[in-house]
Amino acid sequence: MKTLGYNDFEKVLENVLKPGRYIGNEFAIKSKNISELSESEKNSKVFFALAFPDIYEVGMSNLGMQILYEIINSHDDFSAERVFSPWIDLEENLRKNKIKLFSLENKIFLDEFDIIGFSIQHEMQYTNVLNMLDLANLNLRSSKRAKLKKPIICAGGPAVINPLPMAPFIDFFVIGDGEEIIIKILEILKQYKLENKEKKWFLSQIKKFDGVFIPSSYKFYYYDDGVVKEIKPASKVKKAVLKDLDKYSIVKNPVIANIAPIHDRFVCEIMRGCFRGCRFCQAGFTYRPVRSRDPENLVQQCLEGIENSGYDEISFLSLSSADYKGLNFLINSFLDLSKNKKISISLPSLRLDSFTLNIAEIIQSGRKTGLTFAPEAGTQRMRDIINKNISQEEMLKCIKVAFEKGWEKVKLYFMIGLPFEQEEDILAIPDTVKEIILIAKDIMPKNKLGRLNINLSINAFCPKPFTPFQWVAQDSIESLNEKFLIIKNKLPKRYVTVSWSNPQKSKIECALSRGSLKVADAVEDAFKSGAKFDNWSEFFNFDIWQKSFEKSKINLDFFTDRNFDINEILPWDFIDINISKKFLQNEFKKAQDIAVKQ
Amino acid sequence: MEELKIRFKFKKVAEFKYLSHLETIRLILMAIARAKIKVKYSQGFNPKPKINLSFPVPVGLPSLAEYADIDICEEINSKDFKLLLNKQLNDKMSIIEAKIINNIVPSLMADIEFCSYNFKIKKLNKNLSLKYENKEYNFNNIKEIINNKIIDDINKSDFINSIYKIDFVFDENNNDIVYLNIFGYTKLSKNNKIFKFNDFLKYIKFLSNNNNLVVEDYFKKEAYVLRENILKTPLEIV
Repeated sequence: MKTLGYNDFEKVLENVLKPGRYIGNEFAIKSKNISELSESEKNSKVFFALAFPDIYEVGMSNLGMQILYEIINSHDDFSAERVFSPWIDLEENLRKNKIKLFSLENKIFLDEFDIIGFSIQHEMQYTNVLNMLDLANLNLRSSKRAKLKKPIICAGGPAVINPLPMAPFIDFFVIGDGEEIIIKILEILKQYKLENKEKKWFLSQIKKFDGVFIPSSYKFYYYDDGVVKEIKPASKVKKAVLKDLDKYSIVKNPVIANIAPIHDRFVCEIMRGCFRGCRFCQAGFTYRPVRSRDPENLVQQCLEGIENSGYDEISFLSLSSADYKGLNFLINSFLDLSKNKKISISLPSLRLDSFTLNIAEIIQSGRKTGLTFAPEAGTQRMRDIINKNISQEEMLKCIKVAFEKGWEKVKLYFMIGLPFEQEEDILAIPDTVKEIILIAKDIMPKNKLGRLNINLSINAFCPKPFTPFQWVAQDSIESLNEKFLIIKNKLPKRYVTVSWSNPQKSKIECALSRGSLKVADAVEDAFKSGAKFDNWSEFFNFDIWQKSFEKSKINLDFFTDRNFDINEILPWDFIDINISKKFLQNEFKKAQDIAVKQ
Repeated sequence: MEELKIRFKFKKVAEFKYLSHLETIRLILMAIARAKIKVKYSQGFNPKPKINLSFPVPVGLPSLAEYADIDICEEINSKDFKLLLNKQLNDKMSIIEAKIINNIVPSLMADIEFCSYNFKIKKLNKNLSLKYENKEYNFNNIKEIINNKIIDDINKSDFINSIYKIDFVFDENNNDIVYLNIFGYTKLSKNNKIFKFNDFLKYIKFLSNNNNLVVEDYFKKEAYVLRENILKTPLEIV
């Protein structure tokens, strides 16, 4: 296996920003040390490059990466090493010196691995995946890598639940939970390597497993207008589901990043999936069924994790932590047992009401950094349509109590461009803010009112596959910008800060998430035209994307501005996430009924 | 509760030379937490461990002499401190020595007067004759270049105001290698300037290049405080 020598390593890091991103050698790395392996050991082990298409600080905050890293490396025969997107300065040095992208642990060149697995969190990371393949000097299209024995390229993660826009580049996808299936796949891969089998054999062996999608085994037929006519074979790819979260303990020995990740704290997943069924929320449907960890076991594991890692903050992750049955027990026992250690807790998805406000008070222990509410829509009608069960009165009551208890900062999340949206739904957003200010003026002492801060975050709605809104057209860029301006102009200038997501970015995100196989051409062209780090606002370039869709003869609006027919075959219909299309259709009808009624 | 201050010296070499000052502090504090050494926290809403490091070493420069003072609130001897902490640290960034501070000392930032840096300079090729500023030079060995040319150049440069002392150490077994040891000022005292390592590195590389030499290795070797006009390391005074 060829590795990057230390002299070349120093050379490529010259004048690079934050070189600490690339130095490896972290505490608790788990890969096999190849300098301690004999040649025959190297030949009998499977080397897995766990690739994350964003920079180190983002990827090292990702729990999925840490989970897979731990599971793979706990096996004697497998070794996983990490690789992240290099920042543009390192990329420039790599290309200038003709040095291939390398892993952090043993600095193995990426194309030397038996398998590269991308964890793709967001559609706007697609071009970074292609860039990493390119930096490894690999052909982008799997058809052009057919004769190459290794590396085999796979991908998983929430952004490939509809894998089609990335399908031509990836040999196989893992849809759903990766914990169990990854080992089954690597066992086959080991046999493929030891017995020198054909790639076709490997793919045919793993095809049987739930969760595996092999692009080369599906064919798509279209009508002239681009709508899918037929998908062959008719058999579906079933999502892989880990039935019992407690089968694996939490990651108690995470790799400690050398430079602070964006979420620099110990992470513990308490629950996967969400009961709520908000109709816009893809994760709410694709992560079903809801599975919880046993709170009693968890306390001990978390204490161990804090001791092993040296963190002084723990984050309990889930899609909606207030719905976790053991939340009170978990927090109280954890705080009790870690009393002398000054550990702070964060609950990133705590749905606030008068009950959970107590929890917020306990965990913010006097600091009162701020409270976050996600009403998502301005009127009750709109919230009913999207099935977001938050009532205005309950929220305002909660905010009132919060002000009484001394909070001064409130963050509010809203979406605009939702299906069936009317002017009143838009106008209700600034009205809600005004009402909150009135409450604050009523309750907060005059001398403290200056510290009141209402932070409003407005995002464009983006219809996603496997949601009841997967059929609806996205609002146009012009209309979204107009609606945002209406809100902005009606907002009080004092006490309020407002942020607005880029609707152009949202449009591309929509086209990629609802894309068919054809969209892959645009992704490739966009990459070749310079698109990368599309998730970073300073890099996103709408022009490139628009031109790439044009050049690939794909109508961008076909995927974004069109109301899909409720009965048409959707490109992602061949994936079975355990929720029937019928159920989603019914949910959509419910939303429609509410909209029509009033 | 028992309270004490510990001063420790650590190295930061190989890949770890790429970590910045703040990144280094973060890793050391996490290692201390893992080692279950009880540190004293500052007061207030955002309590922080009380740790003070010596002046930041430039990113990319390996160091054998980083220093830090930390407040501990348990009884621990310096050997255990070093041992426990090194179990939690990579060898390439690990504690060299620790001492309990028993007297009153100024902070490291205020106290350290000089840092010494080491450069290994090597002959680039056999030919040591060169034309420079219209003069023809012909040297027999690296010693002659250094003594007749390099020292002169440095003395004439602006850098000399920021340098307290220069030593050249010649390799007895190898005529083609010389070690340059520079003592640079880290704070203003009389008429001196502060030694800027990165600027000097560029300069010495440029000088070497002009003289058919190459700078191969460099690192920060030691930090010194002054006590009655004698250089002492920060650990010698506690």
